[in-house]
Amino acid sequence: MGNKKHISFIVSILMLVPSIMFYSQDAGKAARMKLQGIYLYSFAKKVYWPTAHTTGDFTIGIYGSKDLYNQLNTNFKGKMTGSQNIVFDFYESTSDITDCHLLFVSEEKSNAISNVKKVLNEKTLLVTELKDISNSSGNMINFVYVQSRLKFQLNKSVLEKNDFKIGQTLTKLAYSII
Amino acid sequence: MNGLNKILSLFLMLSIFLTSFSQAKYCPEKMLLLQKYQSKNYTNAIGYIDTVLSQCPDQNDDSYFWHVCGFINLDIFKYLENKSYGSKTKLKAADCFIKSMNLDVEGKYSERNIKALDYISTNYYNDAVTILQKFAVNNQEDAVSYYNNYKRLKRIAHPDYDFAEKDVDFYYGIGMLFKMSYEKDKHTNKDLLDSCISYFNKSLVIEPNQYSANYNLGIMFHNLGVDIIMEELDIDADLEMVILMQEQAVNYFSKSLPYLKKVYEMKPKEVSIVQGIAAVYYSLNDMEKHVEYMNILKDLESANPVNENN
Repeated sequence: MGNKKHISFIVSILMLVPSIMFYSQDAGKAARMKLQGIYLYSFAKKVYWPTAHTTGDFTIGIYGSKDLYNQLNTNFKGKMTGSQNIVFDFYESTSDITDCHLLFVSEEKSNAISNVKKVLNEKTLLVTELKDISNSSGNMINFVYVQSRLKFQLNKSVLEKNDFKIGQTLTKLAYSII
Repeated sequence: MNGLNKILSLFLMLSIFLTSFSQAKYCPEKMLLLQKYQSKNYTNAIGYIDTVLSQCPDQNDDSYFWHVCGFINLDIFKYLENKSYGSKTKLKAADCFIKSMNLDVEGKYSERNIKALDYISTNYYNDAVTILQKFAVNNQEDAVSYYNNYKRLKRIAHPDYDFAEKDVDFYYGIGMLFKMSYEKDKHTNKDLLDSCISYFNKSLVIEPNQYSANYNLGIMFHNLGVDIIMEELDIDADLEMVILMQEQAVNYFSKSLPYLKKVYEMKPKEVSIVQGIAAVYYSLNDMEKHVEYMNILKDLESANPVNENN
């Protein structure tokens, strides 16, 4: 009446089929960098700089995270905000920081924020990655992780004091406005 | 098989004789059908089934008639169709044997009907397993259909049969096939993913501690979360879309953890599991837990350097 095949044997063979490899934390890190990159790109598009700073290239500087810089330089190369070409700069130390429209200071350089502020000019939008900016003065936009989700805080008073105008979308989507 | 055929021939000859005298209504078409079958003229024999039913409607309620119909169809499947996959004749044979069983209140043909159903159900089972065995990734639906037929027929033949052990293995096996199909082309085969998850989960409902299904689901959910950000999220996306897709990714990362924690309990020294949990915690931005598992990983790797390349 027909021999019954042994499914357990087949299944044991299937178990030997190479599984998809677990994406390592490098993949997780790349995903995080991509999200941060998209947010930074959105800030460049949805924050309005004083007219005096809307000509020439639009420079996004990265202080601290070479991975983020590489990600931006790969994925966002050639992008524009308004009529300005977006270019990226990487700074290894505060003394390297030059004239840029937007400066992102990564978490590992958080301790250097006060030194960073000393070298910034009035056209630079400072984006940080601190635990909280409620009690910090001078920070403009801050990345925070809330229940595993990347969100951002807006320090509206500091932004307005520096003549930046924030689009409605950013205001609406901000995790908190200080 | 020859022995079985001889027994069947004797049985049929006796039946023809008995039928001729015992039936209330004589049905010459049925006699012809039996003769055709006896002479192994299966194609003609099957042609007489409808004729018998139209000329002798009382045969509809005759368990012996359906029993013979079952064997005609079964022999066509075996000898003319060479046991081809997806044969409808095989299913017709099963339906005939089931009708015969239902009408056979005295159980005269019960043993043979059950044996025949066992044969057909085993055949379906083997067809399903062959698809798994060949990694025939485009035939998952057929495998599921064959397996369901196997269960349906087996249950009729043996109402108390316990399928749990086979279900666990089959659901895991078919889940793997769906996974392999999905991975061949993630964009085109995205709809297969739900089936894959569903079958792994079906396997786990019966055997919650099945290692492989837990492990694969843990990996898949984490990778799905990463894929949403890395593959599906457009860099020009609106922030509303970014938030939405991030939500989906976090949802997948969160789903991954319980499966990985379970396999970690089973194999606490398995490097790939610890790496996986550390990666999930990183993706969830739970850095304390990430560091905790990275430290466990370091200890494991230093205790067993061979594992480093695993």
